[in-house]
Amino acid sequence: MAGLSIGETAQRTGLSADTLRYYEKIGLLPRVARDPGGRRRYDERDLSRLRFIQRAQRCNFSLKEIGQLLKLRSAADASRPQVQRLTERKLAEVKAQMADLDHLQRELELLLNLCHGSEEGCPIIEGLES
Amino acid sequence: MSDLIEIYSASHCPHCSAATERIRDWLADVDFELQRHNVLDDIDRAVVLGIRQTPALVINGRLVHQGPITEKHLQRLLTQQPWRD
Repeated sequence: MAGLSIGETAQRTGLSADTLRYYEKIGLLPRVARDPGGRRRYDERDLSRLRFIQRAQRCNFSLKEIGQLLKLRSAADASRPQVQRLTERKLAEVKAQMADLDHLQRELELLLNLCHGSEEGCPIIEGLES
Repeated sequence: MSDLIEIYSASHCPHCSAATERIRDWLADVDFELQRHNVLDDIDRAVVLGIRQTPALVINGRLVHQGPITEKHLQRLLTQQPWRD
């Protein structure tokens, strides 16, 4: 039978077999075709969907949001405003996280410089101990 | 209204005390208000100001110098007053 087994799909995508079953269970993947023995066979559409899920995860979308995006994906023209709203919201979140990370990075650099510039001891450690 | 000069220092910072003393000397002749901060106590503001090392000098809310400072450089900073618009 055509298609890939769950092991081959796991190897191809880098996802575990448990994750592949879970995605199907929660509806991120539609029911995957089975061979006569009841074993899953993943076709090109399934793989495309899995690649979409992985890309969306890298963009920090939650599984719930990815579920929404996948529904919108199949009717992209009709759902464009919804996709835009969802993406704009996610972009705002990412920007806020980047600002937090930037602040944290600069704080850590400052603390490290204080330690490097200290003639004796480390002011950070002493501050924590006091 | 006098200008506000803030100095951010840290414990065990070898240059902070000397820089503070030099500024105090200068303040006798120049119209400045001086505030001293421990950088670890005000670290959020220090980060926002762009401070990466101590001592750091902030004049009227603007970071004008950070790191070891010579007397000559300090004199130039306090007399040029480019922060006054």
